Amino acid sequence: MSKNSTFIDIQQLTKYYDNGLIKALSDINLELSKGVMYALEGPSGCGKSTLLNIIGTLDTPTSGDVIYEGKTQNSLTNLSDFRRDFIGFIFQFHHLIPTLTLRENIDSAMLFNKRYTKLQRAEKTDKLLQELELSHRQNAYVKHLSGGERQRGAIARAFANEPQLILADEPTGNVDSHNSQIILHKMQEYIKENNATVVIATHDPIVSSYADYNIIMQDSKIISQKSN
Amino acid sequence: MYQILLHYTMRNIVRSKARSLFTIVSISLIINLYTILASIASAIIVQLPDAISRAQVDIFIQSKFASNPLSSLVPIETFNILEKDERVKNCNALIIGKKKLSPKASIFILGMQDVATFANRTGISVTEGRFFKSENLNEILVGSKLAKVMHYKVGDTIELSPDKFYTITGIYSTLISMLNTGVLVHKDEAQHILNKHKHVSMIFLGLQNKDSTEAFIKKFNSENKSLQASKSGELTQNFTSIQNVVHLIDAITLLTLLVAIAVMMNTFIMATSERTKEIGVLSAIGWGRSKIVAVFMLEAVVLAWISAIIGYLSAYPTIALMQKYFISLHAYLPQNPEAGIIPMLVLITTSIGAISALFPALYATKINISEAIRYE
Repeated sequence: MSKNSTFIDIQQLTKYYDNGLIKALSDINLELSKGVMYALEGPSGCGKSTLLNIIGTLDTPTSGDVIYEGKTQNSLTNLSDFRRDFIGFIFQFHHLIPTLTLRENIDSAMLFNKRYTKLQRAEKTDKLLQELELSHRQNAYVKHLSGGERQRGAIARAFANEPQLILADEPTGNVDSHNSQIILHKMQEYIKENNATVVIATHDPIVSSYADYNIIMQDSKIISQKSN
Repeated sequence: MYQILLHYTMRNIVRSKARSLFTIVSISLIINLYTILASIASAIIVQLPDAISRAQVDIFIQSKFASNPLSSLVPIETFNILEKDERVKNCNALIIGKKKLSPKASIFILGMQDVATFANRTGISVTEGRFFKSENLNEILVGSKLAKVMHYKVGDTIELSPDKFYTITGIYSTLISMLNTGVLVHKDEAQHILNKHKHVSMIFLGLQNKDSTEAFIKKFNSENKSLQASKSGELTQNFTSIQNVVHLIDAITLLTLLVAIAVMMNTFIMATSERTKEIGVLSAIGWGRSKIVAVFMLEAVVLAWISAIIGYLSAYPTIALMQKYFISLHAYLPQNPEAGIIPMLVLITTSIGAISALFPALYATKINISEAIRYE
C-alpha cells in the first residue's frame, strides 16, 4: 500500500482501558507513507480516536509500538518537542485557546520552536492567515469567530511548525460543506507542498473521497484497507 | 514570546473576574496585615538600636534579667560614679515608665539627664514650641501622637502627679513611633512622677576610647552582679519581653503568609481543574510540562504582586484608622508602613505566587493528554 517507503510503522498495537476491562485497540498493524492522505473510518467507539492519540503520542499503548522513521515511541526522549516539530493536531472542536487572539493561537504553536525567530514566526503566521482567508480576523478572540473560521484557525495552528504528520479527528464534523471543502483542499495542498502524511478519523463520506487510502476499523480492529 | 505569555496571563486573570478579585482582596488583606506587623517589628528591632547608636552610645546598662526597659532599675549611685569615670566621654540616664492619665489612656514618661543633647543626637525634633530649660523642672515636651490624641497644645498644663502641674513648652516628633506617645521631662521630675527616687531605668555611656568597649563591659559586669552592661546594638536582644513581642509578631506574620499560600493554592487548584482541556491542548501542540507550569506560576505571581501593591498602599489608611480608633495601640503603631520591608514584600509575594501555583500545576499537568482534551 505504500506510495513511498514506510514513514510510520505501527506494530501489534493494543490498548486497554479501565485495567483491561475495555479493549480499545486490538493487534493493530499499519504502515503509513509520506505524501499520503489516509481516512480512518468506522463506527463510533471502534478505536479511531485512540489510534490517532497513540500515533500522536497523546496516549500510550498497552502493548505494541509505533515506529517513526526508525525510532520507536519509547526511544523518544522529549515528547513535547517531538509533538511540536513532528505532528500537527486538528480536533473536531477546534480547541483554540479562548484567551488568545486567532493570531496568538497560531503563534502559540511556534512559540518555543527555536527554528523560528520572532520575525519568522510573524511572517509564517501572516502567510497561514492569508492562505486560510483569516487575515481580517487575526485579532479576534475565539468567541467572536464563526465555526468555520475557528476550524480553519485550528488548521493554521496545526500547519504552523510544518510538521511531517497531521492527525485530524473529525476535522469537518462541526463545519458546513463549504468549509469542509476548504479544509480538505488545504490538507491536500499541504501534503503536496511538504510531502507530509495526513491521517483523518472521519464518518464523512466526502472526506473519505478525498483520501488516498481508506482504512476501515470495527470492534477495535482494522478490517480492511483500500486505495481510492 | 514574553509579550504573548504576559497577554495570556493577564487575559486568564481577567477571564475569571470574580475568582481573581476574591484572591486579590484576600491576599491584599493578608499583605496589609503583614505590612503593619512587619513595620511594628522593624520599628522595635531597627529603629530603637539605630537611634541609640546615633546618640553616640557605646554601652547601655540595665538591671540584670529585666525583661523590658520599664522593669529595669539601676541605682542612681551607679550613674553618679560613672559620670565621674575618666574613661567615659558622655553619660546619660534614662528613666522610663508608664503613667495612667485616665482609665483608658496611659502614656510613657521619659526622663533624661540631658534632654536637648540626647534629642538632638537621636533625631527627636521639636515641631512646635521649644525645648524646656533644665532649670525649669515643671516644663515638659509632649510627643506628637499624644498631643494629637489628647488635643494638647503648647502652653497647656498637665497634672502628671498629684497636685503637680507641668507646662508644655513644645511638641516633639521622632521616627521611633512608640516614643511619640510619651512626654519628655527632666530626669529628676521623672523620678518623682514614677516614684523611682533612687533609681534610673537605664544608663547610656559613650566611651573616650571605643576600642576599650569590650574590656569596659567585662570589668563592669564582674564588679556589678545585679547589673548588666552591654553593647548598644544588643539593646533589643537583652530585653526578653521585647524579644517575645518580636517573636510573636514573626509567628503571626508566618501564619498570615501560610494563609495567603492556602488561599492562592485554592484558587489555582480551581483554575487548573477548569483549564484541564486547555492544558491538554497546549501539551498536544508541543508545550512542555515545565512551560505550562510556568504559565500558571506567572499568573499567580502577577496576582500576588497586584495584591502586594494594594496591600502595602492600603496599610497607610489602615494605620491612620488604627491610630484614630485604638488609642492604646498608639505606642506600637508606626507612623507609616516601613519602606524598608518592600524588598522583603516582593520576595515574599513572589514566593507565595510561585509556591501556590507550582503544586496544583504540577498535579494538573500529570494527566494523560488525550483524557485532558476530552475533559468536560
